[in-house]
Amino acid sequence: MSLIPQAFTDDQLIRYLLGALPAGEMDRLDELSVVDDALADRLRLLEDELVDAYASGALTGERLASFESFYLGSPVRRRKAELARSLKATVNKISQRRATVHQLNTTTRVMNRRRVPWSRAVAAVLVLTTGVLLSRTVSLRRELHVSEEQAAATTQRVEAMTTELESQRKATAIAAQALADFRAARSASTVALVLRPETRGAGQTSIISIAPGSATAPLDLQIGSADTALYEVTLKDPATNQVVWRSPALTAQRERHPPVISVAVPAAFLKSQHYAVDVFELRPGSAPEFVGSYAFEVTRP
Amino acid sequence: MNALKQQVDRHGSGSSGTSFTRLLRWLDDGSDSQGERYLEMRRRLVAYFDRRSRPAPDTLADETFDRVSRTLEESGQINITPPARYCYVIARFVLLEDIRRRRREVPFEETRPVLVQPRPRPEDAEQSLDDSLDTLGRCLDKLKPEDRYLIVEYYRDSKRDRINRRRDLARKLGITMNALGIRAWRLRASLERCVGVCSRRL
Repeated sequence: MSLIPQAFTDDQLIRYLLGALPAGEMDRLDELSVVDDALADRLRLLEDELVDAYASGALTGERLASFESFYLGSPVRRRKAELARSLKATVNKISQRRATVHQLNTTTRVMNRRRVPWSRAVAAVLVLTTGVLLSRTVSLRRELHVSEEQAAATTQRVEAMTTELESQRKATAIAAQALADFRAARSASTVALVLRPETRGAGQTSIISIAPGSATAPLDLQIGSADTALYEVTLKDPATNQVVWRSPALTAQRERHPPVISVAVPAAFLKSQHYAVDVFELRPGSAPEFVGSYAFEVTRP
Repeated sequence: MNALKQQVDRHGSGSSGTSFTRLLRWLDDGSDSQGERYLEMRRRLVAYFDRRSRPAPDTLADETFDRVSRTLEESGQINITPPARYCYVIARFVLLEDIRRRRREVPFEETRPVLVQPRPRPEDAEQSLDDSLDTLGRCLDKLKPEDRYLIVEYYRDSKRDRINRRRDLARKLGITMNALGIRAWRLRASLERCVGVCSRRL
């Protein structure tokens, strides 16, 4: 409640606070400062402003003189002045701290804002790079897969060729051995028994007489046709149907007509009885193919 | 009410519980300010005695209330309104009596003595400021965060910036500039009390 709302100017009220008004006005304001709510509030605000102005060095001239001579004459008011000084220093410190924090935050925000395009650019580059790398990886994987398949095929081919080569080497070795055996047999017995393949209703069985001391019994087994294939000859005991001897790989003598496979059967395996020999064509990677069967009888003196 | 009771206890009012309650009711003049009106009136009386350069303004304010309480006790009612006006009438008597008493004790003619304070030495002033800052810092820490924010915002900057800031602050809080000023003043007064208590402890 205000009894005299704006009857006094700020300047008058400040002069009242500084004890610089005439006595009559001082008394009147004394009463109003206690009784009038609005004036009491105005006085407080103006007093704070006055004290703050002093604390910040804004008071000059007569007003400063009055402040120092009258206002600071009271311990209560001196404490107000001290508080104003402390408050000013503290508020400045806090404001500076806030300003620093605000500046830091602003700087961080600005940097973050500026950083966004960089982040996007980096992200874009990463995406592109990742894409390229993925594509490259897929391509490399494909190439690798093809290479692996090719390598596997090559390996298979090499293995097949190696197997074939090995077979041919073995065959060659066998042939060489057979040739050696044949030559040895020839030296022992110069005449080989020529046998024809068995046919239904075949006539007489051929008889071979093994002379004492003979190492082998040479046989010339006629075949229908011949190529560069290798052949194997087995000696079977007809009574038991068991193979008692197996020749190394042999080649056919194509220059003879009909072509023959010359084989020297070790004499040690031959007793005086009937025998049968079977001829098989050897094929790499598959089972030997039956060519023909031949029967003969052995006699020993 | 706690703050009120502390304040009363601190200043050692002679009012008994019952008479003090009657005083509060009378000061409230029909409203219930929870003791705020008493505190407000006491602040005004202390300021009045202080401006009249009385060495013990708090004691004189309490003496004023004691006399009002006694009148209420004896008469049952006081017809002068508003209550603040009656308080001022009694305070004026208390002031005059104090002046007379002091005159008897100290032969000094002036009721408004002009005391020119010697300027403190720079090093003492520096130390004093450091102590005040420490004390004020502690008192600020005791405030609620929103009050601490308000007082810092209210008193920062100077001149035009300060006026603009206060206008913004009032708008933000949805109150008038005057109400903002009063709120800031109350916080400042509480800080002042806190600093006073802390200084006495040191």
